This record gives sequence, structure tokens and C-alpha cells, in this order.
Amino acid sequence: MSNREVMAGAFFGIIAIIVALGALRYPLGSFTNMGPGLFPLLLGCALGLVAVAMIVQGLGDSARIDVTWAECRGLVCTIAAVVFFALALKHLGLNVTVLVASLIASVGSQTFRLRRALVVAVVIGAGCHILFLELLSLRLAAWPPFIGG
Amino acid sequence: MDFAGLALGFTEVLTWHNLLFCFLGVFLGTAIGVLPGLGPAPTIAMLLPLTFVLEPVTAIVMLAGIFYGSQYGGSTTAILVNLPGESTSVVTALDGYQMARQGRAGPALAIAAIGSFIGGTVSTVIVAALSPVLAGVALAFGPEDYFSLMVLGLVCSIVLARGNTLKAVAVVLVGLILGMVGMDANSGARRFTLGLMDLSDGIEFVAVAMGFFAFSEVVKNLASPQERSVFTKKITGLMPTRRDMKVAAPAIGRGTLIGSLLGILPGGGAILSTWTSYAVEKRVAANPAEFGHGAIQGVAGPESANNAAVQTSFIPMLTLGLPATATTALLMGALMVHGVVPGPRIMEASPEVFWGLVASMWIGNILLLVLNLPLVGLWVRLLKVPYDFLFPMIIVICCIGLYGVNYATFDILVAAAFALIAFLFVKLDCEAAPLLLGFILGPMMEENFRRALLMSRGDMTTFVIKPISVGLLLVALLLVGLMVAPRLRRRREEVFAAED
Repeated sequence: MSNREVMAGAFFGIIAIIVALGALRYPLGSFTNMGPGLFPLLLGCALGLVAVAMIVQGLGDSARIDVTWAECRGLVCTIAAVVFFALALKHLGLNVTVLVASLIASVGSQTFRLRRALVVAVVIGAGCHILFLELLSLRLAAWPPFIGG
Repeated sequence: MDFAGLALGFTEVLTWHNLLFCFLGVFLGTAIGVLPGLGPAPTIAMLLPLTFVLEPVTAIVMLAGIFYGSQYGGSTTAILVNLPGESTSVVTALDGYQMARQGRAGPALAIAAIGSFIGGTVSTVIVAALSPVLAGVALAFGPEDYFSLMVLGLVCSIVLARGNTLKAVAVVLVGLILGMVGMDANSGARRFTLGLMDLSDGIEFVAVAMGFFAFSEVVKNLASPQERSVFTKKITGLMPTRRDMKVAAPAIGRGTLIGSLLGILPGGGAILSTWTSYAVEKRVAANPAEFGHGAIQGVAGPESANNAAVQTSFIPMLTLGLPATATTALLMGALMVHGVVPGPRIMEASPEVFWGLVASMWIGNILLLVLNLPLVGLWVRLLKVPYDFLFPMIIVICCIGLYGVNYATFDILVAAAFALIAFLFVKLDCEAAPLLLGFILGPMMEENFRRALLMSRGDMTTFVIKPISVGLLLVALLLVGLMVAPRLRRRREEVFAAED
């Protein structure tokens, strides 16, 4: 089942159901005095209709979803780098976080070379330290507490 | 035309301090906008947080600089590497790249800058003249009129989105829904917060922008490393010849006119204006066969049209609170972060900001002309920075910038989630730009819908009884009708096919 148009319809359909059901948990009120649930409910229903139309329209379509290995590698590494950054920042300080996040991101490239990635990470780390801590004096620790920053 | 206002704007903006930041904005905007794969939207998203440490007027001046810098940076990449950063510079690449291949990169870049400057200058005057008028009209708008206006804006963005129309509608609706997340201003109910306190203020706008534009661009570029053939040849002879100027001057004039007119349309006339201008130039040219093989009018016209349209698209954004494109939506989001709420009252509430912005748009244009031409050599060198160095830097700087908005690491996680959703969008062949528009308009739309119905005691016909509202809805309906009409549909497909 990799018909792209039908999958798109299904994707939006699922969102529509979640939103519409979620909206019912809030008071709907009336049209004269709208509650917090009414507008989201309307949007969810509209999205549901569009999703159904999309599925119907896409049934005979030949476009497929194809995901390549290179794409997944880039996606996973980018997201991993960002998530690592978010989780580590408060605990490891800016320098270590930037260094590691940049390394993780580098793995996402198809032309990844460890030595070059290390050089790039150090350059970016130093650049960020100067720009954000020295020049813009962002309120952030430079080093992890156990190193004594 | 409000000369006193314009004078106020210039006195607000013309300090060395502000000029310095405008200069910095233009410089950084171009430097990052030049990098292949980074169009204006990701560039602005990336640099946005830098302005948050500044006071409002300075920040806005810098933003204007970043805005123009990134636009021009995109044109530079289009001309030199044939890699248009966004849909509006696709047209520039057609003849600009051919000029560059013939060793005339210098004149192509120069005429793009000159055209942009003239287009920008003329349309700045139009913005100054028309905005007060439109704001005056908008003051008579009731909530039902506003609601219909936003419907019209969203319909325009759907019409102008590439690809499947149903998908564009779905994307807009998802954007509106995302805008609902957080505390409801009226009832205090926390909607769709998944029980997370961090979401009770709603989803951070910058996080959405970064996820959809910056991070997803990185993922896209990593997947398909493009062949980059940058001109290593030294660019000689920057100035266009006399013959160039003679051919290009009327093209700049026509482009400016077309851009200024189309830019005012809500929903993004900028893309439309570049293609229209290109088509017009091709039609009036003495030798249409030159087009596609390095015709200088093919660069001059669309570049002037683009800049003029971008500028006049500030009119609906500032006076009606209706952003036309993803980039103006970003700019509007940034203004709101600085406490400036665009809308008809902006001229009374914060005239120094409004006129300051108008003035800084023009100053941004001048700085662009002064900065870009002498620094062409630097931009070319930047083009050669390998992507393996660039993308970790883009990711890290975006993360730090995003943290700087609210000092919340949660926002960075949100951006990561949106990067994933953006990937799904790409796989499902959905364009993300209308989402940002919906996200910004969502809460305003709900509020105006609620107020309109409160005033009409729940009577839905209020939207089709009030004259302004029904007029706006009819225009929206007309657009939908035109889109479904087979002739325009074919034309639209041609335009987008040519883009691919």
C-alpha cells in the first residue's frame, strides 16, 4: 500500500479524527457563544472531508512513496543532533553540546569522514563559543558543571 | 501620502546605531542567503533570534536588512550556480545563469541589484502612500469582514501553492489547527497541549519555522547532493554596457509596475509577478529568441518585479495583518515577538515602528546596492564552502537561536518534531508554505469568527449579509472558480512544471 495520494489522504484523515475527537473534550458552547471546542471541531471536520476527497481522487493515481537510504540517514542524524542538543544543553554546557551535536549531524552526510567531521565540529564549537558566549553573552554555561565551568 | 510620517520614520531609523545593525542584517542575510539550499525563508528563520536581543526599532531595521539581504543572496545563487533558493528566483536563474555561462555574471548581478533597488524604491513610495488609505478602510471592518478577509488570504495562498489543490487546503487546515494549541484566550481552556505545561502558551512560531524551513532543507539537501558548478572564473567587468542599460531600463520599469500591482494582492503575488514580468518581456522583446540564452531583460524585469512585489506585499501584512507569503509570515511573526501587532491600528499605536519599517525597507535597499556589488567576490567564495561544513553549522546555530527565543530547550524539541513532519510532507508531496500562514492566522480567525457570531446572535448569514464581507467572499469564490476552470488550470500546471 504505497499509493502516495491515498497515503496523504489517510495521514490528514488521522489528524482530522484526532483533532475532532480531541475538540469534543472541551465545551462546545453554541454559535452565539462559542466554547473552546467549537472552532477546532469545525476545522477537524473540514480536514476530514478534504482527506476523504483526497483518497477518492487518489485511488487511481500511480505516484508511489519511495524512501531512500540516504534520505533516512540524513533525517535520522539531523533529528538526533537537534534532540541531543535540546536534552544536553542544560547539563553539558554549550561547548560540549555544540561539539557533539555537530558530530552527530555530520554522520548524516553521504560523504562523511570522521577526521574532517572532527575538525568541522571543533571549528563550529569555537565559533559558537566566541559568537554566543563572548560577543552576545547568552545566559548559558560554557562547560559541564563537573569540569567546573 | 503622509510625508510627516515618512519623515518620522527616517528620523527614527537614521542613527548610526541602527544603520550599523541594518548593515549587519544585509551582510548576514546575503552571506547566508547565498549558500546553496538556503532560500530567504530558512535564512530569516535562522537569523531571527539574533534580533530578539535588540530594542524594537533597531530589531526591525535589522530584520528589513536580513530580509533584503537574503532575497538578493538567493538571486546571486540563482545566477551563479543555477540553484534558485526559492520559487521567486527560479525565473532569474533562466537567463541569469546563461549570462553567467557566457562570462557576463558581473552585469547579470549588477542589473539584478539595480533592478531590485529601483523596484524597491518605487514600491516603498507606494507603501507609504497606500498604507494609510488601506488602514483607514480597514478600520471600518467588522469581525465578519476580517474573517472573510482571512478566508480570502488563505484561498489565495492555496491557489498559488504548487501541486495538488486539495493538499494545499489540507495543509492550511493543519496550520490553523496548530494555531489552536495552547491556552484559549477566552475560556482559559488548555487545548491540545498533550498535558504539557510547555505548550500552554502555544507552539513557538520560530520552532515551526525552523522545523519546516531550516531543518527540513538540510534533510532535503543531504538526500540529494546537487552538482554544484560554481564559476571559478574571476568575475570581470561588473558594470553593464550602455547597450545593456538601454535594453534593461524599460524592462525594470515594466517589472516594477507589474510587481507593485500584483504584490498588493493578499496571498502572494511575488511568484506570479516574476513569471508575468518574464512573459511580458519575452513578448515585447525585439528578439524573443534570446530568452533562455542570456537575455538581460529576462533578469532585469523579474528581479525588479520580485522586489517591488515583496515590498508592496507589506501593505496587506502591515495594515490588515494578512501576510502574503511564507517570508512575510516570518517577518510578521518576528514583529509580533517584538510586541508590534500588525493591523489597521498599527499607525496610531506605534507610528514610529510602522514608519520606521517603511524607512528601513528603503535603507535596506540602498545598503544592498552598496554592499552587494563590491562584495561579489566574497559571495562567490562563500558559494564554494562545502556542504559538509555548512549543514552542521546551520543545525547548531538554529538550535542556539531557538533556545535564545524563550530560553527553553523544549522549543528545540518542538522544532525537531516539525522537522519530522516536514519530511512526511515532502514524501506526501505537500508544500509546507501555506501551513505557516494558517498557523499565524488561526487564532485571529477564530477570534473574529467568534465575535462576528456573538454580534449576530449565532446567525451564520452575517458573513453573506454585510457588504464588505460578502464582497471578499465573492472574490475568494471567483478565485476558486477560476482555478477549477480548465484553461487556467492548464496554465497553472505549465507555470509550476516550468519551475521543476
